[in-house]
Amino acid sequence: MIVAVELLAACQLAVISALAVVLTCRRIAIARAGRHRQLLLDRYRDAVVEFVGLDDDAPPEPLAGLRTAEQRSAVGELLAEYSGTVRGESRSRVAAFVTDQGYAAAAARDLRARRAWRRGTAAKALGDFGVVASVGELADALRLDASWQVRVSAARAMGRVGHAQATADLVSACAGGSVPAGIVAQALLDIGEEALPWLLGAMASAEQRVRLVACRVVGLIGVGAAEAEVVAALETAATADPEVVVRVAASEALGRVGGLDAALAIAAATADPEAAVRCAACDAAARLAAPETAAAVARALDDGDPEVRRSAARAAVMLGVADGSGSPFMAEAEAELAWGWR
Amino acid sequence: MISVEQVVYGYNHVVLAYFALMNVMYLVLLYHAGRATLDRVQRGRMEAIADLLRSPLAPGVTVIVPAHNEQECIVESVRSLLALRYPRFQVVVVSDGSTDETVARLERDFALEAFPRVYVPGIPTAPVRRVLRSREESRLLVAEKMNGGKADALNCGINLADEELVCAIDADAILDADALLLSCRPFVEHPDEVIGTGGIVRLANGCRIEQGRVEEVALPRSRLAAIQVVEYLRAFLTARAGWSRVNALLIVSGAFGVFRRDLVRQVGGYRVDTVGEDGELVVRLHRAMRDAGRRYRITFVPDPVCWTEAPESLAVLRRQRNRWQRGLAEILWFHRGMVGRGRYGLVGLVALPATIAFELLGPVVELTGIGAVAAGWYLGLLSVRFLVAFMLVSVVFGMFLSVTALALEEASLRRYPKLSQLAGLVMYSLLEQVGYRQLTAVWRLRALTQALRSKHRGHWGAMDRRGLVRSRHAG
Amino acid sequence: MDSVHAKVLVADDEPHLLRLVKFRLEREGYEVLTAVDGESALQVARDEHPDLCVLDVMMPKRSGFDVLRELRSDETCAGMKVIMLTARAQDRDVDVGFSLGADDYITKPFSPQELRVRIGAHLSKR
Repeated sequence: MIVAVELLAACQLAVISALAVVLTCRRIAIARAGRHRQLLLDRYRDAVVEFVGLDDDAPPEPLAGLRTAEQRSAVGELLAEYSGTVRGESRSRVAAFVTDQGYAAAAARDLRARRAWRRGTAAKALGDFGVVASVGELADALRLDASWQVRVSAARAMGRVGHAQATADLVSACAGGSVPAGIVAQALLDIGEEALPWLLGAMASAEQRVRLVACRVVGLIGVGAAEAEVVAALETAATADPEVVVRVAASEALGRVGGLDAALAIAAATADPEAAVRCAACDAAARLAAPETAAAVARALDDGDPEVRRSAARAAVMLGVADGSGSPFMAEAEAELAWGWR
Repeated sequence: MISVEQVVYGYNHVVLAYFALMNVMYLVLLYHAGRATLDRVQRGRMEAIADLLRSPLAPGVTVIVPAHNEQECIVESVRSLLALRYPRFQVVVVSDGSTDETVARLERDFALEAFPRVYVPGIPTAPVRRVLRSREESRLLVAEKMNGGKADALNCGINLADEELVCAIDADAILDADALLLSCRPFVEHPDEVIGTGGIVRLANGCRIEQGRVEEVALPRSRLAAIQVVEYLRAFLTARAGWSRVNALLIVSGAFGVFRRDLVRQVGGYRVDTVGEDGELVVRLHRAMRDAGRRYRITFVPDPVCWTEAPESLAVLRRQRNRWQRGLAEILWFHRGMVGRGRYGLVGLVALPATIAFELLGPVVELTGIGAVAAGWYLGLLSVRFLVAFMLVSVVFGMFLSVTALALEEASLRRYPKLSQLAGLVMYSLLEQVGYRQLTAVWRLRALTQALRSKHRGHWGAMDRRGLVRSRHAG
Repeated sequence: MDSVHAKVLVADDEPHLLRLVKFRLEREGYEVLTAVDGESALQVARDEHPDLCVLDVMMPKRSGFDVLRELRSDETCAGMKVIMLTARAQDRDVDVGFSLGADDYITKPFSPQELRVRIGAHLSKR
């Protein structure tokens, strides 16, 4: 055993020395490469800022027709960074430029690189560039890539590119569980109103995850043209969905969407067997401040669960419902209103 | 009849085997920690964390600050908490029967007024005298309650929390601006699974702190604190990262952890009868989830940083280590029913037994080992080779772990910008093995015997608060 | 007031955004001051008295709302226009901003063209 211990210790000492050497060299190398990269970035930064910031379609001199990989990499990085902070005309202009100059194509090629981090970085860049044509390739990555991180990156990118076509792919990725629901939700939110038609379908999905995401996102996107259908779908979800979390999300969404039908659905949800749903329904009632919910809110003031009573009190104060039982939560809700927190 | 020589000889080999086994376990953890670190590094290249900032889907967090006589640092601490980069959170300060100006200073600085908040003690606590809020800053809530201990104050905070996640943080700890962002990300990505995350705790001694944020990272001037820097890096970057990857993360440091509020309430909140209430809650969560057969995960997130002040005097350090060891003993005692039971998975089968063997009983074996080696040497039983082997297995291995932890830190987080700092840390890792470790072992042994002899009630340690959050320059 | 002489303060902790906006506005002829955190934003606003401030909500040291609150309670800064930059769909931000006295808000990611138009509109209303 002593021999084994000595061997082990010898290995460890060797590793320690090796690490010391490797780390020192690595630090120095990184510092040097970093400085070099910084110089490159500094050289092109102003041109990129000018291109992104102004209304001029023609790219400034330094940016057009670059040849070396280094330069293109630097410019690509800068374009991605700056394009990521803007939207609208500037963004489309960058998208056109990167397509023309081949940056987008290079990133698309990198999507099939061997190393996962290259694929992931490529996906991120495509998202930043905002080139609509890349949605197809990103969708492939989303469906087929072996690495979870790359799929997540692709999902995010699809959201940032913002094309409605991506919605179906995102929804099925969510259903399959290959990408976390939270990521899909954010991507759908980024796409915005254009995603609504698909989201309506998603609300009837067999997968609980998908229904949950759909309800949450619909509430936050804002309803737009499809109002009646959306409210109807949310209504069903809020009152009839078998999963508690979905009913909660749907109730919350109804509170944001508004309208008579929404108010009626919320009133119904205040009688849900689960406290969490009743609570969400009361919060939604507070948001809507619709008189149709007044009776339901008044009943909820006597609820068995204190959290529900608190939410009901908030709603009651917004609706002007008088409280017969003298609930202390009313005083709290009134103070909140008086202090301007609504 | 067994002779003394035989006993001593045998015991020496037992100790050697013990350390060898410990080595192997840590090597396995190191492997996992390394993989986890690599994953993180790769991931860092692929995404912008700021996405979460923009997201209305980000889960809300209630930051609970239990405070007992924290007048020196409380205002700046709260201010820096309110400036955290996160879209949706609130700060609940619970003054646990403070007799100084803690609440008065908050009242003044934030223009607090009495607020008719209904206190619903979902978890029973000492009574709350009053609740104060600020008209201008709706995210702040201050509760004044009767003294009940830190765990009681935390439970009070949980009762008052409005958001779905809770995060407990000491009044004198400092969070990085992005700490919440990074700690909550796992909840967004795996909402079905993640029930708690723990962040890394680093030592702020020697760092330049301005306005409640660490502006410049530096090594402490105090040698004692510098040795602790190494110790923390090793404990967090290797052990905890490793355990987390196999979902057997046991102790989420008291200074920083984010949990789902509903689950914490469900298991009954923090226990008030132990000094290790933070770790105890984590073990209880593991237990409850596994008992219910639910799929879950408690993750260690190495990026977000919580900074805290390490004791720079031996007396204070001793009290701290004493408290930690007693807490550990209490936790393991409470949950002894989990040990060796298959239903508790890796936690019951590996993590807990390993903790008992290597952390709880570690000081016992170490010190008796030294004694046995000395006796063996004196009795002429041990060869020089054995002696050398003994030293190698304890000292060199300790150094190895520390240096690899530093390497992991280098590869991923690189918070220490100067090479000289890294070199300094390597030196301190040697110093840690020779002297410091043995000293803490003595303290821990005493704590163990204390815990065995009587049940001490959990109480606030009297570590002198040096006003950490006050702005000051390194050196 | 002639846009050529107007002073604009832009405060945001994202360096890209700062650079972009500064460049854009300088091209329009404004004098642009920048700040990377709430504390310095407040300092600059008090020292230089810009005509308009573009404030990010989430900044280190002091949040955009804090700065807005301070500016609105400071008489020397009366008449200063403030546009808040908020993350998208944070409706609470918008409400709070307006209730504290902001004149307008723009969501991030933002459109440089839209920003220019809004700034021009607010400054010409003086």
